[in-house]
Amino acid sequence: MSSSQYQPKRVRRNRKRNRPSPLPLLVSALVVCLALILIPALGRMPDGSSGAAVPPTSPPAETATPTPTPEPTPTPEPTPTPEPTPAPFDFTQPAPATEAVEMDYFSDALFIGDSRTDGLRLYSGIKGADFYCYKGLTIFEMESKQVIELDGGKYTVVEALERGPQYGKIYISLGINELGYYNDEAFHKTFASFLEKVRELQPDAVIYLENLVPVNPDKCKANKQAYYVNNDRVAAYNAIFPQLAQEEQVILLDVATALSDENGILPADATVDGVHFTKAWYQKWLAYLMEHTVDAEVYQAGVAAAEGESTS
Amino acid sequence: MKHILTRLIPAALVLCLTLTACGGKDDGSGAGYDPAATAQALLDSGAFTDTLDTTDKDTVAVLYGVEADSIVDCACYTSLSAGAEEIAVLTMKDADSAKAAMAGMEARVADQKTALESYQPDEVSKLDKAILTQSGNTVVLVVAADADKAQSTLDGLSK
Repeated sequence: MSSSQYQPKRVRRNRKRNRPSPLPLLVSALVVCLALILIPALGRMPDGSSGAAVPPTSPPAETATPTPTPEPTPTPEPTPTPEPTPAPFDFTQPAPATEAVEMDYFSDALFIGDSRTDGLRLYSGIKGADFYCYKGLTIFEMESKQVIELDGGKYTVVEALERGPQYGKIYISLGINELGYYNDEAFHKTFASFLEKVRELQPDAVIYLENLVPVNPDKCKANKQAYYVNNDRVAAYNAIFPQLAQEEQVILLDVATALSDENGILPADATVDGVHFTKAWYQKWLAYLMEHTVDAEVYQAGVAAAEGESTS
Repeated sequence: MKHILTRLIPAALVLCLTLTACGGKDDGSGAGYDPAATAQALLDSGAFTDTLDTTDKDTVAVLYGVEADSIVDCACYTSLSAGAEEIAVLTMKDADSAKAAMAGMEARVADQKTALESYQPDEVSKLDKAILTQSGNTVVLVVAADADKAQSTLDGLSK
């Protein structure tokens, strides 16, 4: 038999032999109970009654007084950042290059123009835009030539702008058929009047005015274009477009530079007849438009600033 | 043996009829001219003096006033000089849309005449000889400098 099996018997026997008095044990239990009742009660006493009078004691054990769970710091309400006021567009400069927009940008766009704009419609791959364009159309015919089909009827460009949808962007490209007029002042005045009309009829539209892409002289000659279809005449109109942009608060698009070569002319391989473009060049034109856009707010701020300057 | 022949003869007849139908050009089933091959044959024919380039299906739909999803297949070439010359071969999904496409082509010819009368008057004579034809659900418009050559090319394709 092992000692471990023997010991309990011995203990039991000792208990029977030396049973102690229960009185000290009861007194001790009473003291502990009183302490347990009194100590928490003291801890709950208000500061005014105990804080200063009671000498500092050693800090209670962490287990005795649970660390109060810190009140969650309320997340401060984000201060609304003031809407940045868009810098007004400077109409004295052509639109700067921007990040290219997606094709759906043109879903509320209208293009007004002549056969070149018709080429943009046919060959560039543009999607979603509307076109008020016609072969041979000039700025002098905006209110007289009923060539725009709308709801089964034919209207002038101005009538169509009035009766048709409201657009977010309007691109205007005219001038090549007007080269033979040799009346730059009439061109300027008529164009200005038309731009005013466009702004009046389409007040929410960002209006883009495209300057005139030069021609290719050799190809013009080979294809027997009229004598006035030349780059001197193109340059004369291209001097007017920046004035129009500033005066009428429309955005100038410098497509002339974008689609010309280092000699400032339409490259020979970009045209068949000297005036109109090849498919690749129409695509290049579209790419330029997609990379030169102006936000509507910036545009409207520019208009407001320009109008403010003119009234002050 | 007789039993096998009795079963094979109807099947052979059905096969023959099917093959005959596939070979026809103007069967009303929508086969007609193959757009790409027809357009290429016309371009190669020498009937055109202008330089033409392709337009995509969505633009074709707008040009001829039809719904883009009603066009099963198409080939369309227009003038890079804003002239009159044009090739359009459109296979439409059914007879109704083919009819609409034909009407759209007729309207296009009329519009082009009006536009070019003052812009490029020499081009109008090409429009006067515009070829408009239909085979099955495929409609064809050809405006060429040499309409006779274009027509004989089409005739060759439909044999």
